[in-house]
Amino acid sequence: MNKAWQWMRRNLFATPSNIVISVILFFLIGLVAYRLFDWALLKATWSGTDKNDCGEGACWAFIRAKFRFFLFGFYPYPWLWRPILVIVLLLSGLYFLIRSISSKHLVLVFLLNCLVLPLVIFVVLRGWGSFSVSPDRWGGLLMTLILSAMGLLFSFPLGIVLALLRTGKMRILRVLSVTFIEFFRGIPLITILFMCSVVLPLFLPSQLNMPKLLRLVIGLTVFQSAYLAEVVRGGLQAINKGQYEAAYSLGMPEWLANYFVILPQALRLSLANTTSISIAFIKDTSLVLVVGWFDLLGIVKPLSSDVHWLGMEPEAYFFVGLVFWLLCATVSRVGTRLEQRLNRYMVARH
Amino acid sequence: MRRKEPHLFWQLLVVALSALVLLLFIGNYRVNLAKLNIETGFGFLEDTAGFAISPKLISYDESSSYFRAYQVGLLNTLLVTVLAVTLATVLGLLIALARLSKNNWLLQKLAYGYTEMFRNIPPLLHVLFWYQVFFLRILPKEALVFFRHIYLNIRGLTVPAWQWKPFGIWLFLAVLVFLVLGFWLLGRYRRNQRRLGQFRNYWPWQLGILATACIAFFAAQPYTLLYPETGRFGFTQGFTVTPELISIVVALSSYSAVYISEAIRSSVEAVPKGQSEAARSLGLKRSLYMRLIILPQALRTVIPPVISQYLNILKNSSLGVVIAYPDLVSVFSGSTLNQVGRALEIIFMTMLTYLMISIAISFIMNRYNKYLLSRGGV
Repeated sequence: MNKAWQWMRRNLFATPSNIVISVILFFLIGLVAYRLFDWALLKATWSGTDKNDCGEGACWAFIRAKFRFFLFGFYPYPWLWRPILVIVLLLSGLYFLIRSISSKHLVLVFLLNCLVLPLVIFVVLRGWGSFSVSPDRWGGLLMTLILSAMGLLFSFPLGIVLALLRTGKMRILRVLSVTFIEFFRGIPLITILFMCSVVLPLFLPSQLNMPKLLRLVIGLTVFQSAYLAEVVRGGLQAINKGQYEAAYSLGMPEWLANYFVILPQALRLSLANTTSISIAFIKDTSLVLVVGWFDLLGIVKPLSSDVHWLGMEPEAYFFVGLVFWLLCATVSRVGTRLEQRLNRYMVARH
Repeated sequence: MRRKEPHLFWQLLVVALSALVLLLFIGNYRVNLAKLNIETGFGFLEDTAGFAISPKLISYDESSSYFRAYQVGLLNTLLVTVLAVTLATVLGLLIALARLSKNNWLLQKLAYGYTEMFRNIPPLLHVLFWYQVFFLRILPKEALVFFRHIYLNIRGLTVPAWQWKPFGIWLFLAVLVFLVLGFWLLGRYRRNQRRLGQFRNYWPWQLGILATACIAFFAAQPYTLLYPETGRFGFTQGFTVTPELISIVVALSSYSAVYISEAIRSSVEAVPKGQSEAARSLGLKRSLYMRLIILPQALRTVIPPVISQYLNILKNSSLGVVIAYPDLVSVFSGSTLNQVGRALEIIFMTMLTYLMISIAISFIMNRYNKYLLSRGGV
């Protein structure tokens, strides 16, 4: 008891102003927490068939009733195994990519992820003939995961090339890369998405009917690669000039030195920033709702305008926020763990 | 001697290929437009827009041109950006101070929880939450009243309207000139005194200047306030800030404040520990060594990440489109695009506008950063 009191004296009531702040905060937090607890748990309804079953508290019955739509969008019910398979494939692909990050097969695994995985996803989800499901019906968490994973995967090669060109000696290409990066960093993602959905088709021959989803992924990739390029550039600039000199003195040409000596170190150095822009990117994929896609956030609107469940926005946003929070927190945790592992790996090698 | 350009052939090849792709795009564009029979060009800017926009900072009505609509949208974007940047900076500073506080566990943990909670949720969700959940569901039916004359309800925040009396604006400007001049002269005097080795507190002087200005302003009362009164359909007088504007500003500032606070915190923590130890061993109090030793050094590294947050606020202000706040994207790439078509011209114009503002902000802030560095801190 005495110890607890001493701790409180030191950490809560050290000075008069701290006493005031602590007391006010205590009541404020208590009030908010009580109201939230009351709404989300005490007065909540957990099961029911429409909104009349719900009282004044949270209506989690709505989330239960619409759970599969939150996860997979309007994907037809009999074929739900397909999106489930896709999510499993996607996550295991990413898992193997992260596992092999310090192995010599990294590039191979990366290419598999970049080239084979999207094809498999597309074939499984899209299907053919009487099995076909139009991409308009994909949605929910499935869409968020696909857009995030594809955008991130494709943006890596482009971002790294842009960063190398920006720091390189070739002046003409440097100007091109700086223009590209600064242009896409200076404009909002919404305008890029508008560009891809409205203007891009006009730039392509009308026979080539590029799928809407692909155009979206291209827009997201271009956007993300501009940000990634800046992060990688930070890593490249932090590398000691001696590393280049050592590589050249071994007779390596520039691209070989970049590939074997410089890039591994630069990417490791920029890992923390890469994680944070990746999280920002995952959050930004929710903007596709502006051009009419029902991703995890976009699906709230059609679901809460169901006549049986009108006005369920608070519950829906609460749930979607929770899922996004978990997703981003996981990525953040994976990034931190990866950083620790790579640092240990580098230390062990020295 | 001029350096020889490396790999000139390959570089030119890349340039040629890019040019080829660009030409193909342009060719396709012309063919497609001819096929779809769409007009091109910026001639539409002169035409009558025919839709209403609210709020607006400059005069605009249905008979105004599309270009006027563009200007209204642009000003609305800038309004959100300025408001959100100001609020986010203040809030970010407060959160950073709370996280750095050494002797209030509750405050520190609250700031930490806020940071962790807010930064893993998309900004779009913040905007939708404030608009659809806070305004429509959390606010009670009856308007909340603050200070007797400020009302908050589903229709927005209604405050007393401000009206200048004749010549009132001139009095205001005079007071402003007095304030600026006063602080500038005091600053000069203080710098001179410091150069001579005189350190003194100047807060009585600063307070005096401020108080004189305030007293002069409020005693003369160059304005009248029109207090909102409840009529049958909402308020008859007063000035109403729309829920869209409030939602987007509150959402953006509470979201970006997290990143600004992290930037401030990491800059403060990046100052070597020896600095604070040295300051403490000289007997300086915490408040004093924070102000004199730590913050000036932290300020050197804090400006660049904060610039990029300000730019993010500018770009994220376009999220207003989902709640129909009439910003540049919503007015121009939304309403105008729907009426006129001409997607390329409109979207390109929107992009270039944002690009210009981004470049302007980063130019100004980089100059400010250089200025700070050249002065060696605060």
